[in-house]
Amino acid sequence: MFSKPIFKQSIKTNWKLWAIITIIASVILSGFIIGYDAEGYASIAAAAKGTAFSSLLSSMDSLLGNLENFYKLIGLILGIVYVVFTANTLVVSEVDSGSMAYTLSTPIKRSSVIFTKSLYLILSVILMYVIVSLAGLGASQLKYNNVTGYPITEDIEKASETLDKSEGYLSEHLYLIKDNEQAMRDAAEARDMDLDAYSIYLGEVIKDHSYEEAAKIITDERRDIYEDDDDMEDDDIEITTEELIKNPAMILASNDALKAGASVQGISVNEYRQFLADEITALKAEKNEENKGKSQPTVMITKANRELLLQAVIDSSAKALNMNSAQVKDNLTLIKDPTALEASMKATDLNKKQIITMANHAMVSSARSVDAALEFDTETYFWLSLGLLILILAISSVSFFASTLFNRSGLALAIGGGIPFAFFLLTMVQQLMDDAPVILKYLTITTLFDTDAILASGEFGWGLVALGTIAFVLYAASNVIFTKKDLPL
Amino acid sequence: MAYIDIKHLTKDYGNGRGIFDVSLEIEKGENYGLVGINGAGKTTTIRHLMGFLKPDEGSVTINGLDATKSSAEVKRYVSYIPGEINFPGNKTGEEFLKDQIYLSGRGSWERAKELSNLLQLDVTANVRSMSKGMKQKTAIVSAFASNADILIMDEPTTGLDPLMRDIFLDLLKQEKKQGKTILMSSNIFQEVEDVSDRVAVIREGKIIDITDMADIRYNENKSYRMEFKSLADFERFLNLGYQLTMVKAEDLQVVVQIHDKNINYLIQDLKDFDLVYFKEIKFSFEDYITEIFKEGV
Repeated sequence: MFSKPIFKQSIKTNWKLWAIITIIASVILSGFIIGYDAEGYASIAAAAKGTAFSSLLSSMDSLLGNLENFYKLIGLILGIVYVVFTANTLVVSEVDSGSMAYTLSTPIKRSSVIFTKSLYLILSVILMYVIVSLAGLGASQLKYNNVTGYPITEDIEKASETLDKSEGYLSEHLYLIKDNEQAMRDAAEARDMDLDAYSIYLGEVIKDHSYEEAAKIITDERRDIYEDDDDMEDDDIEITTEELIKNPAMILASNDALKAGASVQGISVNEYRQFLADEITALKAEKNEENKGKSQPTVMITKANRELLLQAVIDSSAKALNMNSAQVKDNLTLIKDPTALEASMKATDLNKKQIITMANHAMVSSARSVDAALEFDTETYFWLSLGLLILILAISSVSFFASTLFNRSGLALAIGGGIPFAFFLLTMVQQLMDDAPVILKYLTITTLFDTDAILASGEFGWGLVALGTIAFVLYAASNVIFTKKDLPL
Repeated sequence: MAYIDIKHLTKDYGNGRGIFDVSLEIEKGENYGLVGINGAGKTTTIRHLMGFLKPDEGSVTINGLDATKSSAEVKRYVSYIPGEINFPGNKTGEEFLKDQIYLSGRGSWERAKELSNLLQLDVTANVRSMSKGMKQKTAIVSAFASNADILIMDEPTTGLDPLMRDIFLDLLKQEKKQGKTILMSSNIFQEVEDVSDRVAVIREGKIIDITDMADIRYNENKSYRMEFKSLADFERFLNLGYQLTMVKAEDLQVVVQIHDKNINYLIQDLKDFDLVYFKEIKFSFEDYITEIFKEGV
């Protein structure tokens, strides 16, 4: 079935376009990743809420979400360009020009010719997207260190200079920053925070990292225990960081988890035990406080009014400092300025401590959301990459089918290129228009590659299966048609 | 069963286009010509032999193998020059020729080099930038270097200058001497006349005549044209009772048709006449074809 000479000839004729598209796609994907501005997108997305751009920006609040436009538009159109022209060159242009006569006047069966050519197209598409995905992975790792470790943020970059340690090492030993006053000051400045807010932030990050390491160990231990237990699903066995944040007591049960957690904090196991005990007490106290609420300030800060109060504080600070609100919003440390504090207290009836806590909280949570945006979820990335690959394979089958069905190169290009391009245009309208008609999504197979569902860990598997089926059926039909049809050679 | 056996082959494209009930029997070692004007059905017939088209009705067998179903196996014996030549890939003539030798599993590069020299073909040129004539030469070299038992050629001399055409026809004669079976289509009657053993004439998709070229080449009835100096001689000759196919009184010319065995009588008689000239009129295949077409109308 497979003919090596035909395969070699296909490579020789088509490798240039393949190389060009592979390089362009790799560079653009890497560019998307390296150029991702977590802080910028977070604030733009907040500003654009409710406007026509919100659907475009809403997904950009994370590094992978930001890639949606690559997977839905750029990666798609580059793939379409490659498969449309390659499918055309492989079959119909050889039939139309008559050069296929030479291939078929040798004792190679028609069925081997078409099988080998379909295989070339499929394998070249797979190789292309594997390379592109690896390039993206590499770019993310080089820029943020977030594929194999914790993301490297600006404060770590700055502190690594001060402490003369490598960024990667420092990202795993954050307590070193905490232990050095100069490093703390530099790092806080790099993140636009004052020392107070930054030390709260750093403490939270270190705590989360220690829980994360502990969670991995506990999960491994549970895997060993429940290995043969059929009743336990993977999800039941796995202990996540979030579960530990709610219930740190689980760590106390495992010596290895304690060791791992303690090493992240840079303290002894005993000290870590004490730390966890304090955490557990604090969590309980928090619950009780919610229930009772003993010392009563004039105004209570609740979840509901937090946003409004913060805005009021920002506005009054801005007025007091003779600035506009956006400037204060960009640099929340300004709220702590004595003049501003005075004005805010008057405007909101909050006391000084409440306002400072609120400012710290706002700074920490915005910094934490930037960190979260830079996290790299390998599983999501895998599904995005695989989804795009299967989509391009399905589209390639459309072009290849047209290329085998018709004898005229122009007609095959019009159909085999027109349909994929129409798919692309429909996808673009849906991506860029907030209120695109619902019917559009039934007119293009690109809908079956549901990036939103992949990013939100929703249900997307059947769409990919459907795309795979389309590819299989059309490639099989192409093989049958070409073997049977009349050729004008 | 003939070596190449076409039986009642029909391919109907509608509107009277296509080929209808074509039957040809080509023996091993025979050089067979297929002539007809453009659009007569030569290429359609040949494409069936190559297995590129599937017959509506009828069958084609080559060396006992069904040319449609076993088309890949048939290619072990067959080499082909398509009517419209384009080469696959982006390579030099040399690479193409070597690839074809490798793909078909027969032939030799030595022979290809020899043939290229003979046809003055530059094999270092890229096949995509070749002129029509160069492509034609490359195709001829590829077909002849392949050392196939059967050569199927669709108008192989188009694009060749007269000198190259002669070289090609000589090569064809050599191939025939080596026992190759050749089927060649053409719309130039003279070239098939020179090399073919038998010629089938196709018109509007139907075979209207199959001629054994030996009958034409060795026709023992010959025609002679002569002009007399005086009217007296002219009139005297008319009375001798020869079979005259043309009489042109104003020019004092006649054409005499006579069998070879009687030629001496004519020469004896002519001793007494004063002639301006005397020459044999060759009966060409072209005349013959023209006759057939006239009859067919």
